[in-house]
Amino acid sequence: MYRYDEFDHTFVAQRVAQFRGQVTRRLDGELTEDQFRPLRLMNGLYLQLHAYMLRVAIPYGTLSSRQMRRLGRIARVYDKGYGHFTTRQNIQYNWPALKDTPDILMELAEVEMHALQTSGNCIRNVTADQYAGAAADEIEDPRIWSEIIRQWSSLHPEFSFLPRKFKVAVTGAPSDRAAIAVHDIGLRAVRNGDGEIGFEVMVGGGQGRTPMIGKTIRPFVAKHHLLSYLEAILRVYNEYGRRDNMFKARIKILVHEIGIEEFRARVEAEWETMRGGPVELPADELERIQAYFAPPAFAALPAVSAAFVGSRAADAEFAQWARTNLVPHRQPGYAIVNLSLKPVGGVPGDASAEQMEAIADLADAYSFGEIRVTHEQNLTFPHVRQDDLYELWRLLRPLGLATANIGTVTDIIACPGLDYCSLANARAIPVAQRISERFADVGRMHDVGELKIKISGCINACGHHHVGHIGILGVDKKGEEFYQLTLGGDATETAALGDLVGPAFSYDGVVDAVETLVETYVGLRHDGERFLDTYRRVGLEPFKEKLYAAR
Amino acid sequence: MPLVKDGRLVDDPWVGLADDAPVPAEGLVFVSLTRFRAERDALLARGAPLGVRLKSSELAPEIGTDVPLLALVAVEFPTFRDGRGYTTARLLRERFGFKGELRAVGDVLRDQVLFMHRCGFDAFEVADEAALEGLKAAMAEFTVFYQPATDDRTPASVLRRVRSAAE
Amino acid sequence: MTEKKSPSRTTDEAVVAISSARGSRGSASKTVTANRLGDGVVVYLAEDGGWIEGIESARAVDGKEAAAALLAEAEADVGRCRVVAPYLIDVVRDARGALRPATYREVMRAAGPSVRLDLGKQAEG
Repeated sequence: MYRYDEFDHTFVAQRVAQFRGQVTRRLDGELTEDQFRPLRLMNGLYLQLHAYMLRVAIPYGTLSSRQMRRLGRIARVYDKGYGHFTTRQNIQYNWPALKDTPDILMELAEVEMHALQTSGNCIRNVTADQYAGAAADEIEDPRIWSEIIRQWSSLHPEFSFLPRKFKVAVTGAPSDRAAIAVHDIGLRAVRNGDGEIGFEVMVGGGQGRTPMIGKTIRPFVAKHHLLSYLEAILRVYNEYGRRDNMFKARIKILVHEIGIEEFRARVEAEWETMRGGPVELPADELERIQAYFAPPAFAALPAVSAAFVGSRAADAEFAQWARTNLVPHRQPGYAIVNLSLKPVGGVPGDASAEQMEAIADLADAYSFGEIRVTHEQNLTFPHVRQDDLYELWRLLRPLGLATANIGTVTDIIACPGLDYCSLANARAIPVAQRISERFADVGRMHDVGELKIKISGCINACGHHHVGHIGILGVDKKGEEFYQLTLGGDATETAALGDLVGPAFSYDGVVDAVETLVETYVGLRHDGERFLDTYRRVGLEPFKEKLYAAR
Repeated sequence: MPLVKDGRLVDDPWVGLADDAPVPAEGLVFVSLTRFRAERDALLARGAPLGVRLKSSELAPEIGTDVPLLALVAVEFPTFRDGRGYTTARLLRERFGFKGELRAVGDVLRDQVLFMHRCGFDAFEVADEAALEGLKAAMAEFTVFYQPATDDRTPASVLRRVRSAAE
Repeated sequence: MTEKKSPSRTTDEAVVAISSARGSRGSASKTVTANRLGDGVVVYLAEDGGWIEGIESARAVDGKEAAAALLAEAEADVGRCRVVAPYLIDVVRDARGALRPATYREVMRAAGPSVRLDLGKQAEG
């Protein structure tokens, strides 16, 4: 993992001091709320429905156990004992007091964390594949480049007042586990014909009220030119992105309005003047950063652990968990372990301070002290010995972190929604809870198979509903909560936006509607077809028919 | 309006001319881009220093090749949220080699001046004289910078190399 | 962590109040709500010009001019660094004469998240 050097420590300490000054000036009236708002937003501090909300950056979703322990402490000391992991791999605290935020930031700085640029019209937390450094299909560790982009984008003097927020995601493999196609810039590590590693660069993806799949602006940018290419894109966006209408200010609108050809021409004209220039990362700096992401000291183990195989055969529940919550690791004898933050009936993505502290201890014992946050609101231990899996599972269970449901119908993504968020029109969390309860039986969950349900409480789509296999959008109709359903969204490398099914369902009716969709799929599927596969084969009509037959 | 330059309040020798105001034969004057385009030759023929004030939507290439002829470019920030001026400044300095006074005008607030300075602004029009102390403090708030810009502050990546060479 | 089920609005007591507000036509009474600057807690402007946490005894006014004046009073307190982001909300009186919010969003804001009944004002005595 990246470790701060003296420069990083100084930077974040100066940031804390600056913010402390800004808060003091706000509390004593020298700064008006209008002047303070962009400053607090640049530090991830929102005013929400019930209280302030602080969004802490978890750079590319990677945490050390020490950092997780500190997140737990902050939840306990400054908040109400829990935090929420988000679809951008960050953590949100829902109840901090403004006057405590400088101290919270100071405590974060002590463990090399911050809340910089988690809000505001600037470059946000760079997100990456949560299996980085562990997945078998990886070409290049996306964390290296996420860290490089993170530093380059931190308090960038030219790009701190963009037309709108700017989100970057990086995947290091052909498979896209970072949803790059729906980001303002999506990067995929690729090899060119000469075996050189570089990045396919996509621009203009995004969700919200005008969802779009990103377009490839350049299929290959050499690694050592990545920063100049990004700088060129950001400059063109800063110059030409719309400033007259905040709902039309994202880069996806600019790309859509002038066309990808014209956009590319402008970017590459700019790039001509920057390529190879001072913004590029020096080779020795790249080496320095790369070194932090060297693999941990893996033991030399056989590819398959006999103990693991034995436990799986002996314990049916363990076998169920192993089926959904484990992912093959590139290192023989190891596994990637997903910790579900979606207990049946629970609040998706929430973890208590006690859970966070226990997770930190388990990470130390079983995962080289390393934890990842996924954009699907779960956590991952990236490097666990197969020999240890049974013991780990038994320790996760009493913590409520071993639900055998990763990627299944009860592994639902839900934004905070009207329960917490001042932008929301409808609640999302209780819909997730009730769907989860309807499918509580693990056998049924597993039989239904891979099904990604994503729920947003408003059109801003923080729940990523556009790319859910089943997407649910909460709307307000005359003061009542209604839910629109979409089908066939996909956040992976076969990216797609969901299709609207038809008229919305009430809060009382939406769970039955989801069950109808699931049963329709089960009735129509061919062998081995996931929900998404069946949908792509049969289309909307059979689902629509069943859904509205009873109405 | 008060002007800050080199960390001090300074008198402003420049006069901004409305589009229809008569152009004096001498003295430092600046005009809108519209007027500059319309009366370029006459304005340059004065032989006295000339400046142009750019709206936030008027980007560097629109004036770029003329900057050797100008002693002042003022860039507007109609609201601090409109960040086009940062790019305009960098391009005027780095692409077009502007060496004169680059002045930030409009909604110029303490917490943006360090960014502005890094992008090449060397003069700041502020709301009132009391803003000076805050501005000076803001300029000193950071000593670590992660990316190169127009200024000569050394980015961390370079400092790291210097440090490891010394080891 | 005690998590209780979040009820459908149709069973929510507050909806009864909302329905009666609609039934009574005419414009609803207005109250001003805001967040306290220092800690973000939701507050309501009271009769005595102070800010209170419970909406039941907040100050309610009728008519556009009174509402505008109420909001202006709240804005003045923004300037005094007491609260942020004040705005007007519709309110109704329940059978006991206590003020209740007339929209679900404000019911939630007055009480706390529906999915954590152990948090927020709903959990305090």
